[in-house]
Amino acid sequence: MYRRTSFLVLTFILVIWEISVNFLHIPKFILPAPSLILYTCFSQAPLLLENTLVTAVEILLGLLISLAISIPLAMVMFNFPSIDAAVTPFLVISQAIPIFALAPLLVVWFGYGLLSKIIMATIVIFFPLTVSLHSGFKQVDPDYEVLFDLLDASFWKKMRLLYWPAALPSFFAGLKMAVAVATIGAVLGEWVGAQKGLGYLMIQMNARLRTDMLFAALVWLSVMGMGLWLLVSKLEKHFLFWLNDTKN
Amino acid sequence: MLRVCDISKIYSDLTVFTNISFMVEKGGFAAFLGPSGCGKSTLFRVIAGIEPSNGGHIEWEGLKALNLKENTAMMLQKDLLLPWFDILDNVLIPIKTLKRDLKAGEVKAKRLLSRFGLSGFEHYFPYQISGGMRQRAALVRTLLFDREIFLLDEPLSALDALTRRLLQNEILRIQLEFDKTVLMITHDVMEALMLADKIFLLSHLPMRIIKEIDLSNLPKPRYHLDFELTEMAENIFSTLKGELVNV
Repeated sequence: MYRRTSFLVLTFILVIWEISVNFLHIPKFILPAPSLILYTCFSQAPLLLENTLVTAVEILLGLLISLAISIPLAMVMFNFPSIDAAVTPFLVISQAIPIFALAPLLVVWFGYGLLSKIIMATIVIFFPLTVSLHSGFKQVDPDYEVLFDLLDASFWKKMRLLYWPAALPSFFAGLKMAVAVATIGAVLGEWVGAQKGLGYLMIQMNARLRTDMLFAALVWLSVMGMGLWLLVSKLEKHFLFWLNDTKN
Repeated sequence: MLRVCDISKIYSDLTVFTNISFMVEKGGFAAFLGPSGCGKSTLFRVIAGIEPSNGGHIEWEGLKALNLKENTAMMLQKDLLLPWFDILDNVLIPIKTLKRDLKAGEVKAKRLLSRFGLSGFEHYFPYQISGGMRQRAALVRTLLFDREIFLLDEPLSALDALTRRLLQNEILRIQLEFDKTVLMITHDVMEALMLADKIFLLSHLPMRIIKEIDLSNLPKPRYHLDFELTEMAENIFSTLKGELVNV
């Protein structure tokens, strides 16, 4: 029902857009008509696909690195409250510094290649992942801890049987947020300096007044973001089968 | 024999109980009745070693200790089944955690599940079965701790009256068939009278034992409509009423 409503609203906006552009004779380098954007999306598909893949690889690698950092970090912070207290300010600072300010520096340090963009994506992704996993660990019902304390369970046993599965709902919430914002990091990195990627393509096409290509790149970027989101949602549904059903 | 000698529990701003002492025969069944919030659960947690005591000691079969962590299994009002594991994996948690032989544990678990009417449900998840079945699974898990003393903290209070009656029999089996020493907290006077060999009536905070009722001469199973039990229930209620008014 709501899906249909949002589809109708979108169609309505696109129709108004299309008509206005044609009737007001707006030059296409200022605002291309939706039909033109759609045409470009397909006619330039090979070029767009190539650059989309680059951006996707940057995001996925950033995601993998973030997981490798976030999971151990959240576990350590959870097990040692003193480390939690010591690390948290730095985590917050890492997010308070605008990624825009860091981007040029990272390009200077790590070059125009993939690495600087992967690092950008990592910086954006690892924070929601760490925070959501950590708070997931902390939300475990203390009565469950009593059960495991009676059994003298080791930290790892408790982690495997109790904390990790219990934190998964929160972790997936963080992961969804992470993939949604990850594009920001990667595209920003590409704006500042890159040889490939959707962000790079946008800058190039903007300079050439190929506004239709710029919009087409945005469309592909959105589709890619949506794809990542759906992928995570699928995984979430698969691993959290027990959660949906408890609620029903 | 389980002897609790002069156990105290004091938080910085709250005295829960001081110098509580009592005895329960090995293989016996003791029920603890008292107003809510009187410190019964804390007493159990101290016995189980989840919380330290402030003085006193406990003896189990002549051996002195600060707590009985090694000897006790505990069951709470919440079934505490992990929603992400099926019933079999849930009841196997003690085996996995205590690093016992998993194969042998699985055989034992399946046998126990079937004895408690859960055969065929081994691979169901907790959300797929009823509250009574979940609590029976929790009972099987508690049995698989393989410990001699059972601390049951209101294990049946979340259940409806009918399921409760059925599960009271299961709890009785823990004592009689599996030869465990059972200590149970309950708010249900009749439940205590049906199951226990000994009832301790407790005061409100700071908790002390007001009265000890010996029921060991009454054979089990007992019947709800038994005249003697009904009369005793009235007596217990009037003793506890004073404590309830004070709350």
